[in-house]
Amino acid sequence: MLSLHALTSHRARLALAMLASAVALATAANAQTTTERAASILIYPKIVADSSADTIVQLSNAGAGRANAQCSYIDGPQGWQATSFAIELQAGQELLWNASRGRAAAEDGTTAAVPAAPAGLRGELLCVVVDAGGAPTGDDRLAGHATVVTLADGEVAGYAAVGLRGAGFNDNDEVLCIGGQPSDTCFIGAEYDACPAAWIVTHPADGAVDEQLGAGSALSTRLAIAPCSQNVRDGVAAAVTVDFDVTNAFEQHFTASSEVTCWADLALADVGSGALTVETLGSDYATTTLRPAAGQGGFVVVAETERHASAGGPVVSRAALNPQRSGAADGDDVIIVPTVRP
Amino acid sequence: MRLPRGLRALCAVAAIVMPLAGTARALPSSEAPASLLVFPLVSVDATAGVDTVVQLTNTGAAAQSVRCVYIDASLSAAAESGFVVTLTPAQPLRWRAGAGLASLPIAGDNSGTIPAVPVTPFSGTLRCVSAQTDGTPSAADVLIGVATVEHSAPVDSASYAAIGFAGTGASADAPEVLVLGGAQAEYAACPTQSELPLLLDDAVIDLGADSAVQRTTSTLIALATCSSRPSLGGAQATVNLVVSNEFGQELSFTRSIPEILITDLSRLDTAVPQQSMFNAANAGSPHSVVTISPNSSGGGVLAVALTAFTDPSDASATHRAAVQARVSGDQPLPDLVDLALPTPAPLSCAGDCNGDGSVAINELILGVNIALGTSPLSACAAIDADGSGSVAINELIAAVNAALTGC
Repeated sequence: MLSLHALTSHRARLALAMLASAVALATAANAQTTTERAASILIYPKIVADSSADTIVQLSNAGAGRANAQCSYIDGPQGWQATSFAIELQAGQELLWNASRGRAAAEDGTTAAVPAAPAGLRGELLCVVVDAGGAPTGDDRLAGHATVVTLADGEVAGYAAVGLRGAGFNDNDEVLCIGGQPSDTCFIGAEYDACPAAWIVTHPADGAVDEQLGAGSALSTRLAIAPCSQNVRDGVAAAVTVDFDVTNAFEQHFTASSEVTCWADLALADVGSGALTVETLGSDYATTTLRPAAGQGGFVVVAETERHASAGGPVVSRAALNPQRSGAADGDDVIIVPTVRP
Repeated sequence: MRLPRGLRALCAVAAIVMPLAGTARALPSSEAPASLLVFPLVSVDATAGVDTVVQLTNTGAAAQSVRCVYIDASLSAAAESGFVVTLTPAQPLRWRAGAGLASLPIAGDNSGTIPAVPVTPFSGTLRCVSAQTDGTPSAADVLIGVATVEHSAPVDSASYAAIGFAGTGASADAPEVLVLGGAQAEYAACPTQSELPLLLDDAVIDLGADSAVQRTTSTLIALATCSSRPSLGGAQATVNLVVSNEFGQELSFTRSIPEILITDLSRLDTAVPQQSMFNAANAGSPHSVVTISPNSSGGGVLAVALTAFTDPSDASATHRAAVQARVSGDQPLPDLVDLALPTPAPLSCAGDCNGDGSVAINELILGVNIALGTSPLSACAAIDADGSGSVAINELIAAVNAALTGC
């Protein structure tokens, strides 16, 4: 038999869960990632700081008061290694740094220091709004932009960081609940907006001729993908299966899938054994909808179109783009962040 | 059984929060399918090796017609044109603005063609709205678009997503005029504020772990009023521009802008770029979030920027990246997009140089001389029936027909 305290506690938990569910449902129409509004969590899906490229990172506090953030560089190919740091931004302040060198703090304390990314980094940057004590808050204050610069030729590709907005409820612990319903892990349900159910990328078919460069040239597309579920604290890599649904100019559909563990910088030519090449698609361009496999968590993505003067030759130009998105992912995503005291 | 007081209070809060959550208003967005797409920057200049690749996708499960309008920043009647195409379900279309698309991929299911931009060089906007097959606008939030501005020397490209306005489901009386925001909104309202995270002009950026690579930056900014009135000489807006450097210091400037303004960032506030508040040395830091706030009693403004990174030791080594604006707030007053374009002189009276209602032999000869370049167009503007600034063979034929059969 339950004690009165336990009953009250149980009833309170039930009511809280129902309340969280009701509000989550009420806000579901707007619960998606954003690159156009300030958010509580920012994911820069592609950061490169190696001998071939550097990344200019811009991080803004869009709020009227100070903002504290906890950020982590996460190296994809090198086994999910995270380098975390705390940063404070003044009201309305934007900080800029190069991933390869970081930045020093101003002597008067008006600008914060940022460490350099680990040498050879290819991966993502994750930033979470926290309070002065380092606890996540769900306040929508951050916005970001990144520009990847190829050192050899100065080619640039810029994109906006992908934001997840606070959902209104936050228990301020290191387990960040991204979309979804109340569960044992996420007792009050979503603390942050869900990741999208689908990303829509318009792109040239891989291997299509670049009309401006003429015969013999080729176009290709890369997708930097990071799962929305990330255990940064314990260094546990998450995985997601990405389903590709491609429609060519003739309204024909093609499908493929690819497994992404921790982070990936996929060449479309490598997806589905060449299913997305111009030879297979039969048209010079296509629209691809990327979805997590049924029941799996979401992911974020940024696309890059590359231009080659000759097929298989070096990239002579690239342009990055934030794809459009649709709906909220079915799966419950969780980001677990380390505690980094400012 | 009564809930404890604390839970009752929580439920009361929920009762307030839930309706608020449901009434959140839609902002224009480049992130989701929409009914109206605005491409603020389309550039075509064959001489300079510049063209823009436009991708337009119908994400819906049904066929969708789309009506599009090109408007050059000059706002001259000859520099505006429109077209209507029908896309099949989920179909993408891709074309170069400088060439258009003479035939669409699926004969029979697709309809219409896409012309090249009306003039070259062209530097202006493209608006596309979901429509019925006859071109009458009809909201359907299924369109997404991407523009890629390409340069050939050196090879370079920068992509941005079109800014989309979702339909509200309402329909105003004038089908040719789209109402953005306001009490009778047919489409989402324009934002009260746009923010561009920019590297300022003449900023020097060190790159690489050893800072061995340097680049200087400059930005081309495209501002387009949300309202569009090409048949009335173009819309206008007044905007307040604010630069906030990394030390929290602010510089601001207020100016009016025409319907389309495509300019160097450092020429927004002065004719002398070195004196601009958008110059890194004057702003006090190499970067800033540039805030663009239209006057609340006027119309809204949309923005996109292309930042160029140039090797200081080789000015020809320039590469560009697009920067999209973050947006917030709803403009309180509606913006109106008038799809009607100025009507050029009717083709049936082509060649009637003196306006007497008939075409005489001397007028035909004059028309041929203009086509050959031996007489100026100003000698007989009526021969240029489509207002393109030149005389084509079809216009000479139309003039001959008018001479034979009357105007």
